[in-house]
Amino acid sequence: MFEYDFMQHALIAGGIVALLAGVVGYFLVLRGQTFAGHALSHVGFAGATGAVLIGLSPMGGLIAVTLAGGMAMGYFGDRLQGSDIAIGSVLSLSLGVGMLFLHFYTSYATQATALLFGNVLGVGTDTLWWLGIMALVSLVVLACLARPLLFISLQPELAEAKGVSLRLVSMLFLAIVALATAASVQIVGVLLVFTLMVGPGATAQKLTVRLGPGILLAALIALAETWLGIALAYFTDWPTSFWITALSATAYMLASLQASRNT
Amino acid sequence: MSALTKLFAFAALALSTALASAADQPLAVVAAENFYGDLVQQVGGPHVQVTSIMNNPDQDPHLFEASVSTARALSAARLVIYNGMDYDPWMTKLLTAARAQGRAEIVVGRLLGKRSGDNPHLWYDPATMPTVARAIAARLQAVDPAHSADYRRNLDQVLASLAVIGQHVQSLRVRYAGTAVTATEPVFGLMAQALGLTMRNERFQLAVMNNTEPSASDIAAFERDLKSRQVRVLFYNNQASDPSAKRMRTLAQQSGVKVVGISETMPAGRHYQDWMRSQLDQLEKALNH
Repeated sequence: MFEYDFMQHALIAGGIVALLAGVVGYFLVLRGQTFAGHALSHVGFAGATGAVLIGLSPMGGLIAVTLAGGMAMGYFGDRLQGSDIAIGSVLSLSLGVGMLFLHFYTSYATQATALLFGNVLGVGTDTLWWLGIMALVSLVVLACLARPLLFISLQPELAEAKGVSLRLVSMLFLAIVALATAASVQIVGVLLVFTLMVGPGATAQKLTVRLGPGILLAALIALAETWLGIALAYFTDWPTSFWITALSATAYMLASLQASRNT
Repeated sequence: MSALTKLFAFAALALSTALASAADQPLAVVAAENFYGDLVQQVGGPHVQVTSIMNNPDQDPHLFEASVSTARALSAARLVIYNGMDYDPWMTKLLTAARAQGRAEIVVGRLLGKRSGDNPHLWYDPATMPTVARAIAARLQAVDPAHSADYRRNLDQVLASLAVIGQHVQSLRVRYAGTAVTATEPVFGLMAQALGLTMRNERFQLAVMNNTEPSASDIAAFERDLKSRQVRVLFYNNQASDPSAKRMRTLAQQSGVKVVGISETMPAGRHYQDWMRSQLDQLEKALNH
């Protein structure tokens, strides 16, 4: 299967997205904000349709609006309790606005909707470079942000008393999540990004409570699930999304059983 | 497709790649949509082996995840044909990922000078297929000059049979130009234009196709047209219909407006010409009524 260009690209692109989503997802799961991962992969719709309406590149619109959506979610949901309401409000507003844009758009909106359907089997060389750079930027910013982020996630009152701005850190974090989703969605598809953000992080947290090994484990699980899923898709000709979601769910269930047996 | 036929298809594909250098091997062609694939088959005859990706009228062409076998077929193809205009965006992506040397491409939208944002259902325009058939013949002759004469002969036959459709359209146009009709989706739009029919409720159709909600005034106008029989015929897309489109069909039947069912993708086992003829016959019967 390595003799085909598209399979090599699928494994590389899948690998990059897996590492990125695994690490970002670990923090999302830790903060109980997985809903944000789901929401942000749909928020870009309004950006894509809006950009088409005024004649700009739908891709630029998608990234800009996803980023703005992530920061709005962080601003209004700086405290974890109730943050899903902020996320839900931003999601529904952006879907509604996207509908409005399409209403005003009086021709065939194929180019706006086409952006929302990525496929891991359809990645070109240019896209790989671009994806790699976006992933690197996201991971570096996340590494700088990791300490205050953990502090406000685990001990928000103490963090606030020490002068850490909950609002600023949660906005920055969701901006990273937004960047990661916007970059990955149109390359590998909505379902795959969300699966890789939730499954591996949750599985890793069932297996270890320690932070460093947990993040590493989440990234490795995501990578293993992605590569195995692509290989299984190659041999069965079933959709890649199915195999990766199935592997992710199975890994989580097995880890849960293991964890409950240990207690 | 059953698992067994799939296995055979794989085996055949693997074999065709292995034997690609063999002299009289049919050219591997991939068509994104089966009506283009059918046209390639008609022009290429026994010298081509066509794989069509969208070949089932029951699937919604806009929601489609390409499989590994599709990508693999593209890697082995010598000629690829697809609609373009973001109607099949997965195809552009798969082609950049599955590079292949010496693979010819026909993008129908580009061939006709259309842009994204125009009505993408180009194969419903009677002027489209003759142009596409000529382009197919030219590419096949370039890739496989040994059978050039066969391709030319087949092309003449195909053009003759497409001309019959063109005459059918003209004769309907003479009798029915200016007749008001409507549709739940813009699939038939270019054909209706060629027939000189007056297409009403286009905003409703766009909303259905773009998966947004038709506005209240669009729905009211549509219902008024049907109830007061302002329109003679309702074109209904059998393939990708949503609840509001189904409601309009029921309303049309109740008010006595003729419903003509059309499909976006060609039904399996048909040829493009038969498919168009049967749809035009259906329309003629409805208009005669």
